[in-house]
Parts: sequence; structure tokens; C-alpha cells
Amino acid sequence: MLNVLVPKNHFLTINYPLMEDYVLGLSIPLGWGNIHDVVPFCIDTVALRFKLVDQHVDITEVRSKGIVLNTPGSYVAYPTIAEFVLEGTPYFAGGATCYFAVSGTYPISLTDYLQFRTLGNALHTAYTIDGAGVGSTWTPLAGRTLGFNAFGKQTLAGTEEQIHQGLGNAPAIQPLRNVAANTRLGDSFVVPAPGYFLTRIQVFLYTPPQVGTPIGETSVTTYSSLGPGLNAEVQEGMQGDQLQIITGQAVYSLALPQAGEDADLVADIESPFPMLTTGAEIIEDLFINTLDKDILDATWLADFGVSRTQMLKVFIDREMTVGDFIGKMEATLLWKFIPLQDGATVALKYAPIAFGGVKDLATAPAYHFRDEDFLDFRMEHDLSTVRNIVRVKYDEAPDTQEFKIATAQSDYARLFYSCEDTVEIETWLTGEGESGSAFPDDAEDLARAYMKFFMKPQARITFRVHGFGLNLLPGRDKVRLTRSRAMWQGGAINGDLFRIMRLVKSPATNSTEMTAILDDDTIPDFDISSGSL
Amino acid sequence: MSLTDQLKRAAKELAWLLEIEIAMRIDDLTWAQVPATDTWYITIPLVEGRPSRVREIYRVFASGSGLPAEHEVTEYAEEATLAGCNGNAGSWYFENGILYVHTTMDEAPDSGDFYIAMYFWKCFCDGQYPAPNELVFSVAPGFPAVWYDPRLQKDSIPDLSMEVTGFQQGGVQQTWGTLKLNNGDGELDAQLFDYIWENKVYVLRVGEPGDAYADFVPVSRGRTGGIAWDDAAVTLGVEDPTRTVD
Repeated sequence: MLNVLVPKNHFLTINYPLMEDYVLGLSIPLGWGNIHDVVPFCIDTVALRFKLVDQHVDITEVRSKGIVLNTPGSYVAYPTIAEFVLEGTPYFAGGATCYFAVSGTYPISLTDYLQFRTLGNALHTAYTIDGAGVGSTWTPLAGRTLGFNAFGKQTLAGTEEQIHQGLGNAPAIQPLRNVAANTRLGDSFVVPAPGYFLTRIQVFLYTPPQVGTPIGETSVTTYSSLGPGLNAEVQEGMQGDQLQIITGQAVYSLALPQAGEDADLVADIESPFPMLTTGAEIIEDLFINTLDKDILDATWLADFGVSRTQMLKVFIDREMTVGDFIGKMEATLLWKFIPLQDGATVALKYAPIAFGGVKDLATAPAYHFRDEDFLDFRMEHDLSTVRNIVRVKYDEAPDTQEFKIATAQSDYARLFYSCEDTVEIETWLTGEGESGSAFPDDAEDLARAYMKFFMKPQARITFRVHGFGLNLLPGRDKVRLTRSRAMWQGGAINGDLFRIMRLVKSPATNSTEMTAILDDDTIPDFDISSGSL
Repeated sequence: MSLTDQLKRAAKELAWLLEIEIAMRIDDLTWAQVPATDTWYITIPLVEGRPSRVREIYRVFASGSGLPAEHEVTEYAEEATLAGCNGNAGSWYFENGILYVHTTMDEAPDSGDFYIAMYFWKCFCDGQYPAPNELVFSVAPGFPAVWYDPRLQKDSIPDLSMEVTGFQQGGVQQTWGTLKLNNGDGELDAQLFDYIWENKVYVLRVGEPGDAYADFVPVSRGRTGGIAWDDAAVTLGVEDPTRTVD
């Protein structure tokens, strides 16, 4: 089972005959949690259908070039199959006049409105529009145009070009929604040959761009009409992005749905639906829904879920084995997934003082070995485990594969072991704690917890004792040791507690060899400094 | 012994010296203050004679405070007199088994704001000789002569190979190994816990019984690695000294 590859499904021609060429053969991603900036795969270049993941999701937002697309209007979402379909991009023949209107959802107000920039220009005319819909009055602003740029593509898969440039001097203010006559502002431009799909309009705002605080969204509507206000056929709605200030000029971009690489489409999803975010939820969903293997022990799963509540974001768009998946999840949450010899499975949680607050399941040690029990006894300080800095990589962006980084640093390792080595641990943490959690910054806590393992050489004891039927489990169980000679404080070990990490049972000699490490959770937290990049 | 002489000697006529600069954490000890000064002192029962150096890391976050930069190691200056130590922050002085320290921030070493490490040389040889050929040397000028502890297993001295790679590639390939110290009497058991032996400078020298210290030829200078311990011996890893910057 651990060698099974996930994701299991791929983009195949038999299922997606009209997909873009580069999509063929790629894995259909799997995702859990609140995932931003997922790059959609175009699975139907005619219908402009895009797929996000292989699960039922909630598509919370779709953006093109960073600009939020409207739904309905710009796309239609199909959450059960994690797909969306872009509405058609408006097309204008070469030489046609494209009329558009800018409107805001905020109420008419004399104290809260946007200030658009008009320019002196006789080539086309700006309009103030009283009301909405067909038949509203478009009143020309004589000798003035709205300042705006327009962009388009000759083909949907083509590259975006600028098809209109806002030119003119004598800038002036034109408010939007400060009086009833100004509920919308309009303008037009002649689309150049050979004709273009309209993708984006940038409108210029005055400085300051707004008076008061107009609360609401701004959007643009285009019209394929013969003239302003006549038989207006709404083509598409556009929604604005955040205000950008470019060299002293405020610019507001409004986008239309578009396909092709140049569209820079990304989506935010909550996956699966309803969203699963904790390690226990994700492991359970992976095993039951993806692998169809209901082998998890309900008791340990519940215990694991209670003790590891960190919010995760798992996005797999490249094949990995379930074993690697489990390994990365173990590294993310400091736990172990151990199959027992009777086929059951247990979860072991390690000693992160500030990471989840729950140490582990083990309680009293089962055995206390003394001098007379040891057939063999040796110790080791493993210098290779020492690290000065732990870097926990978290909150990976699916589109750029870049991580945020939390670090923990130990001056102890730096001074006493002259160690300047760094270890990097890749995780699925989001950096966000559960709402109201006592551990709001998971990645830093994890880095500090790891630092406690790395700041000193690990002291390992390997010993052999009689009997191979000892009911001990590596990782979970502890033993107490007493020995009159050891590389230890005062030269002897007096009943100290060690955690078993390795167990070799030898029936032929009726003996068991164990390797154990000091169960040391005593390193003070102030010995470690931490921060995030 | 010159290298030319060394070529002529049979192995059994050679004497091997192993010197390791061990570290000890001292900021967690209890210190007393020299009255009316910023100097603090403690008795250090060092059979090895005296410390070789003292270093500090100031642990308190120092952003914008004008204090030493965070995470920087400060090597204390050794002073020739107690007055010199009193007058200079970031210095140490050792006399009659007492270590005096003046921290960089004029604070007590056990204030919790520092990690402080004291270093000293542990000296071993592969076998001792009767006087006048006793292996008793001082490892540096000003250090008292110490009796080299005959624990080094000569047979454990590893092959040390060096190979130059092609010039168009760059780099030198070296191999290292382990050194063994006899410890059947348990003498080193507690010391391996109390002191820090890992990643410390070591020097392996070879000479002839009766040679002056200066005539012992350094054969290998590197860093200790991990430690393996059993009832009979201690095995020290030896590693490339360029592995870490110190």
C-alpha cells in the first residue's frame, strides 16, 4: 500500500479529447485545505472548461492576471467535479466601436465616491449615464474622454496586446456615483483590425482616487451596440482589482474572462467539500476516498485528530508514493504512523512542547534493565545530527512552488559544536493556527520543536538483553536503565528513561538488541530563537 | 625528529601524541564577583593545567540596542594580570586554578544572557617511557608541562589519504577515520559527559622517545567527529577540519 502512487488519475485523451496539448498525461492534482493560486488545466479548448483537482471542492475565487472574475457573468463553477467554464470573451470586429460603461455597487453619495480622470481629446467622447439598463440616458461630456487603456487578443490562445491608449491633456475630475446622473460613466473606442477579443480595460483615476470611502465593487460592462444607449446588448461583466498607483497615476484594471497561457488564470479552492484541514482528516480521506482502504484504527485516529489540530494545506500535483505522503505528513506534524505485527496501526506523537501540547501515548516504562541484564552495552554521540538552524518550509504556493520559511536557531550548537549547518524540513503547514488556538504560529513552533532534537549530538545507547519476546514497540515505548559504567553524568546511569528507537529480536540466541535515546524533553525554550521569513 | 629521520625509523620506535582541545560549558556554573569590579571568578580544578581560550555568545536579542550582534561568537582576550581582566570587557585571566572572566556586557557569566565555553587541551600518547624519555610537554608557550596520558591505541590511527582531483575539476579528496582511546578503567566515562569532545580541534604528532616537543612532527590536524563508547575503549571520529568554520 505504501508504494501506491497518488494522485491516481491522469489527464487522458479518452476522457478529455479537447484538452490543451501540454495537459496530456499530467496527474490530476489532489488537494486538502484552503488552497490559493491553483493553476487550472484547460481540458476543453472549445468550451473553455478548466479542471482544478480530482475532488469535490468549493471554488471560492477565479482570477485572471490577479483580477477577480465575476460569477455568474465571467465563469460558471461546477464544484462537484472541481471544474469551471469561462463565459465567452467578447469579440469585436476590426473597425467596430466598442462601448463600455463603468459602474459601482456603492450607493449614490456626495461624500463617498470615486474620482475618474477625464482628458481633453476629440477622438471619442465620455458619457455620464443616468441609471442602469437599456434606455438609460447617455449624456456626452463634450470634448472630454475617459482616460483608459484597452487590451485584447486576436485569438483566445494568443498574446494580449494593447488596442487602445488613453491620450490627452488637461486632466479633470469626473466623479462616479456622487449624483444620480453619474451612476455610470461610459466611453468608447474603435477596435483595430483584424478584430480582437477584449480582455482588459484599465481606467485612470484622479489623485486622490476617491473621496470618502465608497464601499462596494466597481465593474465594467461592454456593449455591442450601434450607439450609446441604443439596443444595448450586454456582452460581459468585468470586475475590478485593487487600485494600483503607477508613476503618480492611479490605475484600476477590469478584466474579462480569457483563455490561453497569457490569461494567468488561478483559482482558490476549499478542498474537498466540506473542507478538511487537519492531519487526521486528510489521512482518513486519503485512505478511504482515494485509496479505498479502510484500515485505520478509529481510536488512534481520534486521538491523533485531537492532539494535532494544525491547519494544513496539502496540494499534490506530481506523483508521490503513499509512503512519501505519510513521511511528509509525519515531518509536518511530528508523529509516526507505525503498523504493528498484528496488522493494526498506531499513531505515535513526539515531544513538541509547544506543538500541539500533547506529548505522546506512552506512559510508564515497561522494563527497567540493570547491569546484570546486559549482554552487550555501548553508547554513541552522533555529531552528524547537530544543526545550528532549522528551516521549516510551509504554505507552498501551488503556482510558483515557493514556500514561506520559519526558522529556529540554537546558539548552543553554534558555540559548543561550532556548527553552522542548516536543516530544511518541508511541510504542509499553512502557518495559521486554529481559530483561538493557543499555538497560532504552527511553523515557528515546529521549528523550535525540531531544534530541540538538533542542538546537541543525539546520545544513543545500544544494548542486548536476554529474551526476544519483549512486548516493546520502537518509537513508543521507553525503558529505564541502570548501569554502573556509562558515558554519562558521574560515569553511571541511574534509572534514567530512554525511548526505544530500534529493536532487533534474535530467536536463535534468544536475545533482543535495542537502540534507545534519552527521552529528553528538558531543553528550555529560551535556548532557541526563532522567526519567520 | 626530522622527516628524514622519521623515514628511517621502524614503527615500534615511534611515539605518537594526540592533543584535543576540549570545551567545557562554564556559564551554568556558580560564579563569585571580584569586589568592586565587573570581573567574576570560579575555581576550575583542571588537571590539564590551564585553559587555552574562552569564548562567548551573547544570547539576548540585540536588534537596535547597540549591544553585540545576535549569534556572534566573541573570543575573549587573555589578560596577563587580574587588573587587565578587570579593565577589559570580553577578557579572561587564569591564576592558581582560578578562572577570572569579564564578560562583554559586564554581566555575571551565570546571568543567563550568555553561553560561555572554556577550552583546554587533553593530551594523550600511545605509551609512556621512563625518565628521561617521559612524554611530558607543554602544548604551547606559557602552558605548564603535562603528563601525556598513554591511552591512544596506535593501531587505531587511521589511514589518512589525500588525492588531488583533476585540475579542471577542482577539489581534493581526503579520507578520515577514527582514533581509539583505551578506557578500561572508566577514567573517561564522566569526562565524556561533562566536557564537549565533538567537533573539536585535534593534532596528531609523531616523534621519537626522547625528542623535544618541537621535534614531534604534526601528522594530522583535524576535528573530532562523533563518539562511540564501550567498556573497553572510546572511539573518536576524526573529520576534515574544513567541514566547519570556527
